[in-house]
Amino acid sequence: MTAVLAEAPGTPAVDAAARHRAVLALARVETVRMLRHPVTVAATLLLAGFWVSSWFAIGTSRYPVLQDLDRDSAIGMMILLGGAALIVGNLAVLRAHRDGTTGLSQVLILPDRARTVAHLFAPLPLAVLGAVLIVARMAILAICTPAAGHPNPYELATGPATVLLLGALGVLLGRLTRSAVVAPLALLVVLAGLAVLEPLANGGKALWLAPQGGSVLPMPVPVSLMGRPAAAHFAYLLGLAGLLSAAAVLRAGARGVRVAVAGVVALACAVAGGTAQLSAPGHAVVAARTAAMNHPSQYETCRELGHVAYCAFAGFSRWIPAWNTVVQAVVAQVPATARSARLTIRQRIVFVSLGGGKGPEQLLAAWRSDNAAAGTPGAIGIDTQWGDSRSAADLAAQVAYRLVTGRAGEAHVEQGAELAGATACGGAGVLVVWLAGQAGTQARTGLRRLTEDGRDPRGGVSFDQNQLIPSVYVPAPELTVATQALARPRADIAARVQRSWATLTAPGTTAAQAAQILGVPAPAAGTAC
Amino acid sequence: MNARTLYLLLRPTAHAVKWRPMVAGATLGLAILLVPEALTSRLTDAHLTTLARIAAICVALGAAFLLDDPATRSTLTVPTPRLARNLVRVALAGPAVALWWALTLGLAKTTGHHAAAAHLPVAALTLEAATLLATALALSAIAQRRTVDGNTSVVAAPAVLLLVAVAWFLPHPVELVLRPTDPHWTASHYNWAAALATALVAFLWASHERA
Amino acid sequence: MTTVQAEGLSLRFGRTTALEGVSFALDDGVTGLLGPNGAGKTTLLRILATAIPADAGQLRILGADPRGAAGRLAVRRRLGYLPQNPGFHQHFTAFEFVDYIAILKEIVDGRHDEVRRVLHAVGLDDHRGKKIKALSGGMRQRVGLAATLLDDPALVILDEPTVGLDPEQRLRFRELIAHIGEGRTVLLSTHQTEDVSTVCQRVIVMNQGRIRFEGEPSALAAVAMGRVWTSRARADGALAAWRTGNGDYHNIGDPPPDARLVDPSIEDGYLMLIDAASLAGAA
Repeated sequence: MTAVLAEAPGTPAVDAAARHRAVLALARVETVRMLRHPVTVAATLLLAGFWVSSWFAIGTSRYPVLQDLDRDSAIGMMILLGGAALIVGNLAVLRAHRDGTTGLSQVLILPDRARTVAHLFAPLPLAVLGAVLIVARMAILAICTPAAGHPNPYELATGPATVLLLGALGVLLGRLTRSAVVAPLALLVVLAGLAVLEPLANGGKALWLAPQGGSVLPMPVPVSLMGRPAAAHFAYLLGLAGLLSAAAVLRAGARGVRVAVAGVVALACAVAGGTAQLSAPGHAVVAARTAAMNHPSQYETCRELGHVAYCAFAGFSRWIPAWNTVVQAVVAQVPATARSARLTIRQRIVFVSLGGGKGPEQLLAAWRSDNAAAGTPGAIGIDTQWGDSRSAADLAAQVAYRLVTGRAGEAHVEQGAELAGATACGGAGVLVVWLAGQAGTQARTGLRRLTEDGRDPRGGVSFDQNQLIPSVYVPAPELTVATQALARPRADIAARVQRSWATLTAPGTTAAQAAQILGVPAPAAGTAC
Repeated sequence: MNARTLYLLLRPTAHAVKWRPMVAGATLGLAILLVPEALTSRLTDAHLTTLARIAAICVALGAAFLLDDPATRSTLTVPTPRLARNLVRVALAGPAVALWWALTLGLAKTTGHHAAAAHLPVAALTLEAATLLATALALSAIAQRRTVDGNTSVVAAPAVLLLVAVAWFLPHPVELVLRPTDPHWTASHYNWAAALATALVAFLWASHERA
Repeated sequence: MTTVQAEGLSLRFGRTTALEGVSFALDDGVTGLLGPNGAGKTTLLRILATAIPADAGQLRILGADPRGAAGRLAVRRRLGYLPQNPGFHQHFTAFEFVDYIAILKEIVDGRHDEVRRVLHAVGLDDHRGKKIKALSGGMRQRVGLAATLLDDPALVILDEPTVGLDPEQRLRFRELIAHIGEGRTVLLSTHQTEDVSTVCQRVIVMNQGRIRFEGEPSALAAVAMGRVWTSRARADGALAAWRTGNGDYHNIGDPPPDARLVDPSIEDGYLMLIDAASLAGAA
């Protein structure tokens, strides 16, 4: 009797330790079941397969901008691995009901809430797997490609955090309803949010409350100008995951200090992260963005290759050799006399939110004065995206225009406040397109796509320095002549270009005359240049 | 089996089918398309096309529960073949889903900010929705062959989502999910038609009891 | 006429042999199918019920070959099969459920009368309007049996119908089965040797996919003749021994010379067969 009495106070402690071990053992079982579930395996393979295939399918992925790709990767992970965690976690909770073991599990020593905790632990290793995958992707790209910039670790962590969040949501839904259709439908709501929250929020801060976070800038920018509250968003997501977990455990019947503490901590985390991410980017970031947009030369480092100076923002200089290949290919087709001009290729960025109203004109004026200040008049603009055929064609055509006319193509505001590039008329226009076609297969492909699918409403093609600012416009007749010349044997046309360079580049030469010089049929309609 | 048996089966089958997932999917699908459209005019027809697709997936998910049959062991060796039993279920659900789809697209076109909705490619989206529905049914019928307790949805519903995920990422020239402005839009719908035919054949094949 | 004639039925699931060279014949009356779990009983019943085909062997049921679609349909029209754990639509009433199965069995004329008849036969007259989820386990089993008896089948196959029933329910169920067995062929799979001794005219014992015994229940008991004895203490060398209510031990196996032999029961014969078979299998 005394022995029993003496032992009694120790019993609850032993029970608690045993329960912890039991929960851990159960969590291990659930973890393995989740990792081995066909849905998880398929989703992981799909994610990895998508990442690998994008290398072959998307040109820009060979010149990745890591500070943009981190978010992309995290969203892919949310859809696939997060979706798997949601579905599989929910099926695991519903298993007892589905297999008719509810009666059995109600009388087990390990209570419902302990089993819920085990279910909540199950997505952890999947999140770790996601973290490994996303870090591996970044590492491979950073090592094997001329990648620009570097990823934000918090942005990367968003992916695994959404796996935890959706996993917790799956468990909570399983606790709230026995219907197996609810979790898949919840996933579809998340997907619908991905599709339309951006226009719904109208670029507002409220978008940060969604798991995918706020919208991205219209084009890649240097790391220092990103200004994304990724750390706060990460904390917000973890807080939400904690809140959903606490709700699931509460629903499973847990009452007690620890659940309350966990819930309060999660709430604090979610509220702190949620409010921090909603505050506007600091004045410093806004000022830096404006300065970098208006006076790019002050933030760039330049590198001379031959007669060409390449000025790139921090992190983007690994692309210079690729730019140089395109530029030199164009220069090589120009007679030696016309090559003497010193060329500058300058990277430029535009924050569309800062450029509204009279913005475009002011911006173009700012760029002119920036060039003057840097001693690089007539610098050719280039984008913060590279690797696709369009970018190569754009650069090649701008370089060709500069060599043919001696001026850099520059946008001006046409009637209706539309921006339009400098029009390349007659022989000059024909030469611009033909020279652009000499800048390698990428540029050639880009030219063909522009000609076939991407015509300007006026009928010709527009070559841009970035998605927002056009640079050179070649009207339809010039384009037709050049396209025919590109279809002829290269050596023949190259010889004619060398011979008649002066005539072709003379301002008065029409497209029809250029066609005659190059030996191709004249265009049907005269140009309105 | 005769036509009279099929007719007699309609009522008890309607009673036996789990309608709740279907109703939940239809309700959510309707909301997913109509609520954003009512809230903002900034949606383009690309946005609305995506939403209409998600709405169709919602109902396809509901349809993945259509062949669930807890009494499947009791009906294992009845003279009425499984194909007939499945077709009765489809005959019950098919018109309801068609009506829902017409209503959803109709409301999307006539309510809210319907400037973009006016350009919704209705015929193409209907083909896609039909394919998704047929795929869900085919997966359920395949699950029927593999399960003994008649709980086909536990396999079919996740499988629907997985197939959709695969379809979403399919590359050229077998791509399925495109924006309406894409130059390959028409070509992609030949792929959709082929997928629909495949799904229907798979449904009929899987519903057929092995000889 | 012989209802079922099976010759050398075999079936494999991957590497597992479920049935191997099973041959037997069934006639009118109740035949019990005994065997331990995993013996292949359910597999055999599913083959006989045309749910799955055998890999090899000859099978004729009610004069038809169930391998072809036409033969299978012919069998199904005259077959009643109550599977283990039959599923139900829980929100159907007993009447609605049996009526649903009746439609699936293509009973067109006088269907409702037929449903009432089978519900009456299983003693569910007073409960036919109740939802299945409100019925007890024994009642549900009767609903299943009622569905099995629709259209007066010539062959009734029952897979462990008495599992989970209380003693009184089991007794009533046995009465029912005995009644059903008058004038038709009933194959009753069971773990209960009592089921066999009370209602079966013949018994088949299966183990490890093979038939170990086929004959009358008394012949099954006779297998253990001279090998069952009682003793005051647990006997060494007995295949099986247990203490009975009066404190004595009941032993099966090779008796010692001075043993007090008793008349064997069907259970003794069954245990002898199964143990001998598993010992042979181990050797």
